[in-house]
Amino acid sequence: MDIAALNDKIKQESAFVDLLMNEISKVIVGQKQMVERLIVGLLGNGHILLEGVPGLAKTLAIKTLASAMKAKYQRIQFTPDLLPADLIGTMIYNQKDGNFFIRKGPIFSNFILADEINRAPAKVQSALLEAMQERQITIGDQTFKLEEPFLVLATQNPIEQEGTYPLPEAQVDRFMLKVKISYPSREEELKIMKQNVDSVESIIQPVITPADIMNARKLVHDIYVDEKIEKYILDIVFATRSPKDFGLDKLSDLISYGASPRATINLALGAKAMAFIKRRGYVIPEDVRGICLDVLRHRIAVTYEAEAEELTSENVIQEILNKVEVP
Amino acid sequence: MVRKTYFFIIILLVGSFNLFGQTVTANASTDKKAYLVGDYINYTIQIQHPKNESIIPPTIQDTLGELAVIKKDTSFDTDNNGAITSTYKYILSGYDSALVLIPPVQIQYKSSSDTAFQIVSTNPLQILVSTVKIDPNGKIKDIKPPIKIPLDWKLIILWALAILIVLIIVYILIRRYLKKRSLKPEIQKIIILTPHEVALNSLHDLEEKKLWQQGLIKEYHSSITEIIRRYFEKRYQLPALELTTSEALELLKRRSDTEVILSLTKDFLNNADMVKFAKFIPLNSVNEEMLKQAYEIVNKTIPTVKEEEKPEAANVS
Repeated sequence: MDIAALNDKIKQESAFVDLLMNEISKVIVGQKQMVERLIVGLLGNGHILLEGVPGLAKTLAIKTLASAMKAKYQRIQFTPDLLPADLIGTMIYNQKDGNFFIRKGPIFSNFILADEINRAPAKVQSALLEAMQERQITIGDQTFKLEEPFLVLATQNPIEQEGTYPLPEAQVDRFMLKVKISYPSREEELKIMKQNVDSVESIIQPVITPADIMNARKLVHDIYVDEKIEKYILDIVFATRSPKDFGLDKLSDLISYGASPRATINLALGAKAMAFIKRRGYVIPEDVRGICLDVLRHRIAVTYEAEAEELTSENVIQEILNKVEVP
Repeated sequence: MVRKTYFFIIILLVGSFNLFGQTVTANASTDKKAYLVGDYINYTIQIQHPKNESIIPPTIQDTLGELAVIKKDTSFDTDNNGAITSTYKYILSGYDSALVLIPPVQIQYKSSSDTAFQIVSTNPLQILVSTVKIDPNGKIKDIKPPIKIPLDWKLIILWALAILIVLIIVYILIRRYLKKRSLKPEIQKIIILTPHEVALNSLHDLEEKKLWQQGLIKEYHSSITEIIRRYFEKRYQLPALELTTSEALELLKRRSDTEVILSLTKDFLNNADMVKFAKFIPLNSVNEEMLKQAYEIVNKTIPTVKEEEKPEAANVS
């Protein structure tokens, strides 16, 4: 495809991104990065793991996004006594006609907020993560395709670890992005305070439909990624696996294991989605760097030595980005 | 009859002389009668025999009675007018406190006329092995300090000589090497170029390669931006090669001395990005313009004499 034509088309088709962000900003003050990552998840057909202390508008963000898209939304509070059937649904016996019928669970929605995912035991987590991967649910002998778009936004609270079931590395890898949310700035907080104290409630109008997202996804796939960018992505991912090859000898003792091929795929997809948001038909290194931290931070495990030095996977990624040459 | 009886008695006496006249005797002795546990006990066996009697030396293995045989010390013979005394010395030791009986040791001997061996035994001995008496009311004594091993001067002198020889060899080798080097002085001239000199040379080389004229447009734009990014790295100490266009521009913007090239650099890098990442094929005039812009970026940022710390050509010998 001609990139100039694609560029023009994307400029035209991506206009909804601004509309969507404007609509969301009526309710969510600040957190621009989180909202942008939600759209990346939507466009890249991936799921998002959100980490942040309570009260940072995680639930409100996804609820607002669902309202602005006229899509179905469900919030599931993960607790230690939650069962897979509570999530995906179950077969119920009807005494009247003596037959079983299927009652679908809350997962049959476009947007799922899996609140505090690490509070539920492994079997519930794996039921959700399997649905995320397969995008279908089997209840009894019937298989149901999940409606598209299907976005799971799972949250983790970083401050309370007692009585939790941390997600295994293999499961965490299924999330396209892990986004860390921090506190709003002073000005933003003032705005939040005023907005919530006022009696006027902002009403979110649907500005796009799920079908728009599906069309946008097709365009995202068409976005051009030059071989120089592909090499750059590979360099970053390979630097997490064998840092010595990239002159990062000091990192080799700090990385327990590097990013998986799924990271490479998601880095490329995320960069494409970023290019779409920036209304471009091609990916530039800025797109890769912009999304790199969110794609890789949960896919790199650091060693005990790194933990002892209070170094996180983010420090490692930053070090890699500072060393790998930009094309 | 009486004469016959006397003759018989005489014959009987002469015949029995051989039975009672044993010529080999063995005697065992120790240097003391009482020892402490672990003390060395000097045990000696002395066998007296005529010269024509051959003796088989006593065979004592690892233990003798309840005592352990530490080692067989010495054995020697002394001649005293035809009577030989064979002496065998052993060192024994006992590790249990008790009244110990050293059993008799059997020694075989035979005369040259005999074919069968005869046996003579040493006398048994009784010795006392006792432990060190502990005085429960006495003062607790400190452990003994480590025993100082006396210096082995021979070994020290030997080592000192060896080290001296090695040092002399090393000294001779170094002297020889330095002598050789001084004969052929090698002067290496290193010319350190300033960042703008390096950049201008590279741009000149790139111009001569005529990449875009050969259709290698992407390579041309990659090379020209790399030259400028490398120039920024050296000129402004920015990690420009590891930064994206926007990041590099952002860092340049923070400097006051880059204002003159900011807009130019932005156009230059963004145009190159379009070619590099978006398959954009620029007009020939744009390619020519890129080179002009690159020269301009470098020329406009050449440091003035005041701020320049021009490194001089250095001679390194």
